[in-house]
Amino acid sequence: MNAQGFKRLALAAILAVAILAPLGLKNYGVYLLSLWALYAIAAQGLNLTLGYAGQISLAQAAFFGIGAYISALATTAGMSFWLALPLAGLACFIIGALIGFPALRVQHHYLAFVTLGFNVLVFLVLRNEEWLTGGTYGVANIPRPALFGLSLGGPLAFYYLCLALLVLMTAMFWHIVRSPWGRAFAALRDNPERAASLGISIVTYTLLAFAIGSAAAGIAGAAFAPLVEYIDPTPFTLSLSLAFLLMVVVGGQGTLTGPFIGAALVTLLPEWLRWTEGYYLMVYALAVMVLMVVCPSGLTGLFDMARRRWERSP
Amino acid sequence: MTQALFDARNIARSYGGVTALNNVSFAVFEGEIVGLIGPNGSGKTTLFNCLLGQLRADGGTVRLRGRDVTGWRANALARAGLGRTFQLLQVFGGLSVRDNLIVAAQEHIATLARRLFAPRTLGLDEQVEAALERFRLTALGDAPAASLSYGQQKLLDLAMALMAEPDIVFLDEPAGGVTPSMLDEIGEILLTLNRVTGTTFAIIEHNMDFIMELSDRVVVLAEGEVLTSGTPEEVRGDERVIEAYLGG
Ligand SMILES: Nc1ncnc2c1ncn2[C@@H]1O[C@H](COP(=O)(O)OP(=O)(O)OP(=O)(O)O)[C@@H](O)[C@H]1O
Ligand SMILES: [Mg+2]
Repeated sequence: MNAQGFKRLALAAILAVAILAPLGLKNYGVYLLSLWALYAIAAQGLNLTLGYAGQISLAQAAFFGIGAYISALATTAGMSFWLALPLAGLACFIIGALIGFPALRVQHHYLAFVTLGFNVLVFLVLRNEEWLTGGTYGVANIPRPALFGLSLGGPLAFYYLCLALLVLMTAMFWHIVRSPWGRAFAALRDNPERAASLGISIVTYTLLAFAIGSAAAGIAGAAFAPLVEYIDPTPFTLSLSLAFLLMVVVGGQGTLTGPFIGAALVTLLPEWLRWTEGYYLMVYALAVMVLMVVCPSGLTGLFDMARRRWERSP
Repeated sequence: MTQALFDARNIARSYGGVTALNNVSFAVFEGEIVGLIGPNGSGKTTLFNCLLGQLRADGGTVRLRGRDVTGWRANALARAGLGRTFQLLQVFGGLSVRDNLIVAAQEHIATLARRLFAPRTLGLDEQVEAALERFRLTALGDAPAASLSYGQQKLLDLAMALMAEPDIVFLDEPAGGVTPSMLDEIGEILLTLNRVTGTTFAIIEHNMDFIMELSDRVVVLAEGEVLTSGTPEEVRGDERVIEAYLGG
């Protein structure tokens, strides 16, 4: 089987597992799966910015938060979720493009610090601008949406909404990275000077990479608000941004399946490792360290290695 | 006198306190092949980079078909019809040879929004296959560019600069590090393009035999200034040129 076919099969397998997984799970398990789906969307976004376009961002949690607050404030004020969702995506697209401007001047760890600063700024606004965000009290009673009169209020129904969003967003990313845009992103990541000499606008594509990546986080955040039904600023700190980065890097940046696996690991593995009691975080941290040393291209890279070895054996 | 296709006047550039270019004027006429020669460090690459938007010049003007394009970004100049290669060959190693060729022309096609929904190859298939054939890379079309030999990458690099069918192509040492047989091949391709398609070239080169045979006109740069210019024969016989090379 070629790499393309393998990729399709992997995606189909993930989808099948994702559809069947919640059946028989308790509410908490279904909640975790929903969280996985939304984290995977945000990770997909960061994967475009980082993995395909080569721009580091430590502000993904800020956009997740902005999306969540837009959705929470809009729907508690009576707006339909189906309007709030694209609104959150659009707002994050625009703010994301603005956050892309520093990337035109600075790169790598400097850019990391700029985006980190933005994350802190957003957190402070969420916490301090009480008139708008409710401050530390947060926003409560966030309604879950209905679709064609069908309530998506139950955990299982809401999970399938999250999964549908994930499928939709993945299809979008699949299309983008395979389109001429994806080729321009790759060229820019490889060699910006050469890319520019061929007519590729560094400004346009860098801003686009940030805008699209941020919009994905905004959309994920917009669905996160009704998932948890109550939000305050605490989830949207730098540590969530680092978690998104971890999902992308551990999963395998620049691959479509990477963010699913990365998001699954970051969301689910700590739960599965609970039996190790107080040690689970240590086991987890160690596993990540070992993986990064053994296979810097992440888990999908590890699978690729295994696949090639398997193909070579008779 | 006819208007120059490309006309740069009084280009100046210094690095810190060191003057790399001191009021250099450099014109290229439609259909010409202009050689740009000069000892190491004389400012040839700096000049190209100033002319093509990779470096900001400290002063001077650049005109393309009479239109002032001074200070334009590299991508805007590329879209206005200027192609180039760099002194160190630069292909996109992670992309396939085909994708390298497509990416070299895609921004010249349709609008940004349309490109998102356009077919993957943007209708460039024929042009890509023709380029592959011309540069004898057909068998390697799907290979990652990084897997090619140096000579093949050098050909790909050149093919990329030509993909968008630019009006004028700036080449920085196309013969650098290339085997003699490949050198003949490159020379032939450039001549064919010039004579048949009418492509205009400005070529930096250290290989004297190669550049003298190819050029209609040669400009000599020394210590950031134009020393002289003329036909290959005139330049070859010029005492000052010989001195500049020996004295450097
Ligand atoms: N980035 C830079 N920073 C400082 N000085 C530079 C830089 N690039 C070039 N120079 C200096 O500017 C002068 C011109 O360099 P340039 O590379 O343009 O010469 P060149 O004619 O292309 O030489 P070569 O034939 O070796 O390629 C040299 O003295 C060089 O040392
Ligand atoms: Mg040079």
